[in-house]
Amino acid sequence: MVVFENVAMRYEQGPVVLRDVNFHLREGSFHFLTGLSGAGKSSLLSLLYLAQLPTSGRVKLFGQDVASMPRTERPALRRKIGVVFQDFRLLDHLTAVENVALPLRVSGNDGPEAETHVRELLAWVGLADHVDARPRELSGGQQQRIAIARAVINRPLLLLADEPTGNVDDTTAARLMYLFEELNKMGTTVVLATHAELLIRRFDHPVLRLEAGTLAVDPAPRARGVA
Amino acid sequence: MIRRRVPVELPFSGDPSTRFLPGVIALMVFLTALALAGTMLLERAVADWRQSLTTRVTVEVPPGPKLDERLAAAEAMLRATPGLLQVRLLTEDEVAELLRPWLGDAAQRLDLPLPRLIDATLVAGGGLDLAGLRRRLEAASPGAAIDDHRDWLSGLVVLARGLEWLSVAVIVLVGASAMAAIVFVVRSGLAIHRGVVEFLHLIGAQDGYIGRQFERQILRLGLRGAGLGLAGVVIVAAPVAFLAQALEGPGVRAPGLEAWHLAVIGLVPLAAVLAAGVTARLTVRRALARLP
Repeated sequence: MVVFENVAMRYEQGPVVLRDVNFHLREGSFHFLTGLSGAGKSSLLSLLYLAQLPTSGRVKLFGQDVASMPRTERPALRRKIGVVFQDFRLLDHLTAVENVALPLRVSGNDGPEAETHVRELLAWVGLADHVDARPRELSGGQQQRIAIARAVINRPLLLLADEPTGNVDDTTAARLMYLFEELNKMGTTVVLATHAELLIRRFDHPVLRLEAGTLAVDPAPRARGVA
Repeated sequence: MIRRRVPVELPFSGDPSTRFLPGVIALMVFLTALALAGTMLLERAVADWRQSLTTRVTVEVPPGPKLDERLAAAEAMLRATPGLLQVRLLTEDEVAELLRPWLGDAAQRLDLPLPRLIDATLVAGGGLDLAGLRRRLEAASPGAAIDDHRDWLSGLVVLARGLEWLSVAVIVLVGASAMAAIVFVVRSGLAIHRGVVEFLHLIGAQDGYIGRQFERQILRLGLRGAGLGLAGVVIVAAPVAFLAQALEGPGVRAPGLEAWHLAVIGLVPLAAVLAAGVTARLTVRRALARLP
């Protein structure tokens, strides 16, 4: 599903932010990604959702080398990936339904049945009563759930979440984790970046631990994914 | 359906460009259409003048003693000259009519010693020897002169050609300025909406999907501007065309445009909108190509 081989990354002429990163995620696995601020979590995630390309080494997603594939083929690859951004990146002028439907529109799958599907998903994340609300009218937790609904509307094969529980209370955080685990049980591979050690200890998943740009893998007792 | 209900992802309505771009396009259409009209008018005038230059001469027989004899001799000599298609003696009334624009209706009543004129049409490409004709005319009718209009017409043709090139330069400069403004607007739009553009890119939007939103926005603004520009052209051109009719006179055709000229000018707004759309597309595609 995801293969990193000797991956290094730097932003233009800046310092190296990731060096010699190697790991392999199996389909249907669930991993935490953790590390101190500035350790490279966001950079690693940006490689996973193809916002950046590796400076050296090889990143393979769904069996394809992302650096060598034609640029025009990358959008199709991105549509297999759902991302929950730390800052949500909701579009303020669109309603909850419209925000969640965006990936469907982008991929041309916004047929007549799409709106029903979007409303069902919003109900699933507990926002059935807020489908026509705009992000400014919603709380941080509600916005978070819209971002999650948008990330999974296309049934992605890989779900990436950057600090999805960072801005919510413990109860909401537990509920969000439940959502991610449900998605994982349905076959979605999940990588969840977090600072929260308590969360990592509470849920039984292997951990990708970044420290100053290098990666170590801590297998969980019942780890399912790390090779 | 969501496709119908959802507005574009890029909220252009608050962009500063929405205020000034229609004005730029309107100005472009207005100036280009006027410059084009001017060029076409000159082109037509030059063609008319060239026609006169190469196919007509006027023989002037000065007033004085034995005018009828000298006139008859000149006319006979001309009629016997090969290379002249038609020779016609203008009546005294026709000569007076030519003076009417300067002397008014009194021209025919005044007892002025007017020369007599003979209008001769040359065979096209006949290669008439004008110098020889002048010598023979002087011999047949002393004092008679040939005016082939060459001197003043050639000066006018050179001036007209210069003005035509000036018009073309204006069209090119105005077009280039408008395209530069569009590039600026698109780039500023990309900068303003960078976050949304990058987000759409990350969720798998093709460059064309994002680019089309910019294109549609520029086309909307372009259409608005083109409409304004065309309205300005009509408002300015209508009274000018009316006034131009007053210039019509004997031997003088009123400056005007033919139907196909108007059709070409009518295409200017469409061309401006099309050029704006193409410029927007190329600018956006080029910028998006920098994303991974």
